[in-house]
Order: sequence, then structure tokens, then C-alpha cells
Amino acid sequence: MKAARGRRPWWSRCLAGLGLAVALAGHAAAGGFHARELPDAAEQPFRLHDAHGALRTSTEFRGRVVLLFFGFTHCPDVCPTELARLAEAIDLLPPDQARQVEVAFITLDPQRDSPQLLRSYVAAFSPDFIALRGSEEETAALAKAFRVFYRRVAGSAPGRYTLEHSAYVHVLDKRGRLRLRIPGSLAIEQVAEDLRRLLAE
Amino acid sequence: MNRHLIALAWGIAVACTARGEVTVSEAWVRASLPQQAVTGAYMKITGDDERLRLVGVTTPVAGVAEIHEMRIENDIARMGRVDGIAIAPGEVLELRPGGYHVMLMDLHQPLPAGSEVVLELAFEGAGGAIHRVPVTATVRPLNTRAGGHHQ
Repeated sequence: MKAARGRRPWWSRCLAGLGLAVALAGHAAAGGFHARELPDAAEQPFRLHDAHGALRTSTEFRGRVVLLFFGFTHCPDVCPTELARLAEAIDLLPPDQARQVEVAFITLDPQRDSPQLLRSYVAAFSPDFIALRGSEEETAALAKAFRVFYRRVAGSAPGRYTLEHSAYVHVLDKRGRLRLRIPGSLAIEQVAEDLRRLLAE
Repeated sequence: MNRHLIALAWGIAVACTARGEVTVSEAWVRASLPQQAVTGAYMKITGDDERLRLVGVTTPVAGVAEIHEMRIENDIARMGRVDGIAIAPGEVLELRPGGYHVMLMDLHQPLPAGSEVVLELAFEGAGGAIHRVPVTATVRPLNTRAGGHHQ
């Protein structure tokens, strides 16, 4: 192995280096985000009541980056973990940037998630997080628009059902376009980096 | 010579007391809010020298406690009840967010962070005998990410 490397002509290493540089430049040109980029970023409007009863529409968030997470409070695992991750990622940003990021938790379970429960739930992660809640029909329509899968799975008693649901976070840029999907596997530092990049646009 | 005999006797004594002893550590439960009837319990279980299966959990704080498995398949979070989890001799089974957990349902009252929850785990041994192991779990804040953050 050592001998083989010694025999390689100097220009082959230069070529390899050039190839790497081109690959890196290509990556940056494609956006260079850690999260999954949506090829046809389109405006993705929403219009729902928050847990305080105020009607919130996507247009009011223009100029800010919005992170939307569809979940439910009777989810012991993925939902609290994801919201805690988002809070930590935002904490990594300087305060002026952090203020430009809005996190909205959209319940997929309006039947059990009362406004009161949603209020205290999101507050446990950050005083700045908001919770949005629609009717069953509005929820289904919005989930469809965002391509969020969810399905009720019966439990051992009628009230004990659980939900299977898409586990990623949707990111809208400052113009309200759905740009990124953040999987739970992405490191918190990478989430923060993507947010910084979007805020800089 | 005498010292060797003492060491041998001590070794035998330890080996005997270790038999049938599962150890549970770092047990915690995620805090719950009023109206939130469900939460999860997590812990590390170290098996003993025989093959075991965790087959059940009971607790006075919840109407129902079940063993569940959470997994992400094609970006979809799926959760389901499992009948039991096998623990090989000496294996450490970790119940943690994103994997196996004890699902506590029909909570009788909200569980505030800092309080304690008593659980009883039931293990089935190779011969079918059931060992019951009491565990005291600490309630950690709702926004706990994984073993120990935000403590």
C-alpha cells in the first residue's frame, strides 16, 4: 500500500484534489444543506388556530424561518425528543437569529389534544413555541398538503389508540416556501447550521 | 493457602448471590401534564446468568403499563406493543427514547418532574419461573432528550 502510493505520479494526487474541490463546490451549489432539500420549493400556506384561540396564518411568519412538526401529546417518545432537539438547535443560534425562527407544533390528534393541554405541552420545551390545532378535517387536509403520513393504531382500549406518523420536521424559508425536511437522525449542530444558512438568504 | 480458600469461598458466595439477580439502573419516567394520560419509562436492565424475558410491568401510577417498541421506518414513527423482550445472560438491555420503552397509560394523575414512580418488572426465567423486580424511577422533565439531558 505504502509502496503503491509512493509510485503514484504527483499529478494524479493533484487531479484527485481537484476532483474533491469540484465535488465540494457542487455540493455547495446545490444548497449544501444537511437536511433533505425539496427540489421544487413551493409556498405552503397554512391557517389554523393556536392553543390560545388566535387564528394564525402562514403569511404572518414571512421574514422568519418556520419549523413545523406534526405530532401528538400522547406520543411518549418521538415528539418530545424532536421538540427538545429543536429547542436545543435554536439555543445554538445568536439571540437575534433565534428570534427569527418560529416553531409550531401541529397536533395530529385534536380529539385528545385540547388547547389547554397543547399550551402547557409546548411551553415545556420553549416559551416561544406555538401549538396549532384544527378540526379532524382541517388536520387531514393540512397533513396531505405537507405530505405528512399519519394513521391511528388501535390500542388495548378505545381511548388508548396511538398514531403512526411522519417523524420529520418541515422547514419553511423566509418567503414561506417549504424547503427542507429534517430527519430525527440529523445532529443538532447540523440543524442549527441549516437554520443559519436559511436566515442568511 | 488460607487466603486462597477465603477468596474461593468469597467467589462462590458472590456467584451464588448473583444468581437470579437482574439489576436495573438509571430508571426514569418522562414527566406528564394534566390531561396527558400517557408517558414512557426508560432504564438499563442487566441480565443475570440465565436467559430471561422481560414479560410485564405494573405500577400504581398507571391503569396500564405495556412494553412497547418505537422504530422509525421510512421516516415514519411506528410504535407497537411487544409481548416481551429476551435478555441474554449478562446482556444490558437499554430501554431508551427511540427504542424499547415501558408505555404507561391511563395515568391516574400528572407526574411532575422530580417525583418518583415505583414500577415492578416481571421477568420470566428459562424454566418459566417469574422473578419480580421492584424499581424506583425518577421523573425527569418532559423535555428530556435522552439519558440525562436537561437534568
